[in-house]
Amino acid sequence: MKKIHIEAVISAATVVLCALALREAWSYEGETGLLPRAVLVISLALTGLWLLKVLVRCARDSGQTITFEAQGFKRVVVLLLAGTALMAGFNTLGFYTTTALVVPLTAFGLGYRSVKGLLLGTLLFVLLLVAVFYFLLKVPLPPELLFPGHGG
Amino acid sequence: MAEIFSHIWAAFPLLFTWSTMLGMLVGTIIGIMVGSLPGLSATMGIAVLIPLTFTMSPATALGMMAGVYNGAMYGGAIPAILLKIPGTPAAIATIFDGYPMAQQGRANLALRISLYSSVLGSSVSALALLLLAPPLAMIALKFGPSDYFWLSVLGLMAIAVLLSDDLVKGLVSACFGLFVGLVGIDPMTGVERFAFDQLALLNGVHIIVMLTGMYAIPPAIDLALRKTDVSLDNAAKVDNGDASYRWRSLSMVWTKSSIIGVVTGIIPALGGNIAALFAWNEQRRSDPDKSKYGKGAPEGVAAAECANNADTAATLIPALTLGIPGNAVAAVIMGALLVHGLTPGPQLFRDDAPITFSFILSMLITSVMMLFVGALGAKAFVNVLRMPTKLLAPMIFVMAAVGVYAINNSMFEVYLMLAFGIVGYAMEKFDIPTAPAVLAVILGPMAEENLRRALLISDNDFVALLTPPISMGLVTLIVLTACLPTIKKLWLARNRRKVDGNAAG
Repeated sequence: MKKIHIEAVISAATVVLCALALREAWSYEGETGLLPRAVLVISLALTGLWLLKVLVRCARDSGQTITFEAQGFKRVVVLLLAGTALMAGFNTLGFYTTTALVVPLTAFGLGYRSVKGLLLGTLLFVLLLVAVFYFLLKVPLPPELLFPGHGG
Repeated sequence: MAEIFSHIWAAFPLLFTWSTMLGMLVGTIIGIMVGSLPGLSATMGIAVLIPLTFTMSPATALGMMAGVYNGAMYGGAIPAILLKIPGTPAAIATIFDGYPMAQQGRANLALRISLYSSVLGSSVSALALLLLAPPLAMIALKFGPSDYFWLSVLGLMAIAVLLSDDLVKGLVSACFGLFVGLVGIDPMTGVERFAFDQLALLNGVHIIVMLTGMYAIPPAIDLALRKTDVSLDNAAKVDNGDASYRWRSLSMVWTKSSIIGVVTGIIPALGGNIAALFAWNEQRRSDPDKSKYGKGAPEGVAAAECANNADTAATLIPALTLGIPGNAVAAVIMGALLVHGLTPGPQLFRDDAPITFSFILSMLITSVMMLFVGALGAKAFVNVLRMPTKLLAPMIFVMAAVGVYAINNSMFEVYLMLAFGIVGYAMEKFDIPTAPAVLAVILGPMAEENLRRALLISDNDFVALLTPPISMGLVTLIVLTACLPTIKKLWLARNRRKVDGNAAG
């Protein structure tokens, strides 16, 4: 797949988003709408120009071809799952518990295989987080599942 | 001058406290570590650190960030010299002579030259900031609302033009940042804009959410997707060094490179990497023995490292005095100032002089701290390169998420940060610069406020925006800046025609 084709889709989507945002901005009255309308009219023109340039390059069939390797694709999937797990876990399990689970699993999924490194690294990191956020900064975080009474 | 000394004296009680000195030391150590890891940068280090400093005093927080900034600019030289991989973009020119020196068994000398050059460059830069910023701020206090409006537009135009090869993409990025800055309640009329009835968006998008998203997440994604870690197997050994080196021979190199670094730093959009390249080129051009450069000339390392560190504090001159960040690091530091209740701009030197001068002096003190930390820990910092990036990447995600959550205890902001991270990553992959977007989030509200104030004063007469002499001058600069890419293309084409003509003749 050519990178320019992906860029064409992204630039087209940006044009549509700018048009929708401009429609919203047009409903703002008086000076409230002054800068939003100006910014979005300019954005629409610029993104339209960007799309035009990309379409011209597509017609010339120029640009880099992106090849998806299985390993690279796997790492992307691991990252997406890790991000989702972190978001879901922070509210339900707590920051420290989620970190203790997701960080080593993500590193393992990305290809880091040293069990000693995973355990030691995760332990030191969680201890650092607790030291900084709980003892030093006293930042209130969501309640912890594994350590009830901590996190806040 | 007397006023500057009185402000410095007032800053001492804030600066010389245990917490601030410790903050500066910790920041310097973290900065060198962040700088020495390829893929991470001072911008990223400061962006992740800002939320962690909320509960600290402004002096301690800003001192820590000064340490990270200075430390990272030196830290980038370590892998550049030992592995031919720049730790930060500013260390690219250090490779030219640093790596060959290491290959010749002079790694320790190269590291020492880069350390002393970095310390000197940072110190000169901090002194330049101390001496130039206050008078410039006094001049800037004479600017009116229309002048500030055009100054914001000039800042945006300069960044969009100079930081990208494609003007359209640079301006698209700037418009994205302007749009993000518009989200929330209009401060003048109280009307909701682009909040779509979401409570979490009514207060707008916090600058730290966007900064952390766009500068911490993309490097973490890059680290995670990297195929192999940096290997130290082929790294040059750090030997015991060349004890008899004539350090005085570098005095002229340091002088010229410091000046180049400071001047480059003041100009928006030029960064440490440009300063280092200019200085290396100039050193080679002015040396009678040009052939030694690129083959292990100590003067080449000294020029590059001195200039890239002389760029650091100088970059903050337009940011602190005019409120116009000249590059991404300046934008992040401005974000840090805003978070700690300080509004960048000329009024900073009038209303918050002690803390402002405390920050400027922190840039100087952390330069000196870098000397001791770098000298004692040179071999230890090399081992930072052993850190497994696959383990580091999720840790950066977590640090960024916890830091952003700490701002307002809002999971929505954490989701928003991740969304900005994905957008920032995509922007990088499609050659859309992210710096204009971040700068626009800071400059956009300032531009709007001053535009509306100017129109209020002139009774909605748009022509009045162009009548003040300073405004006219700024508009001229804006037009020239916008025409720069075309002028450059025409000039290059003319030169090519000349060369072809000479060759044919």
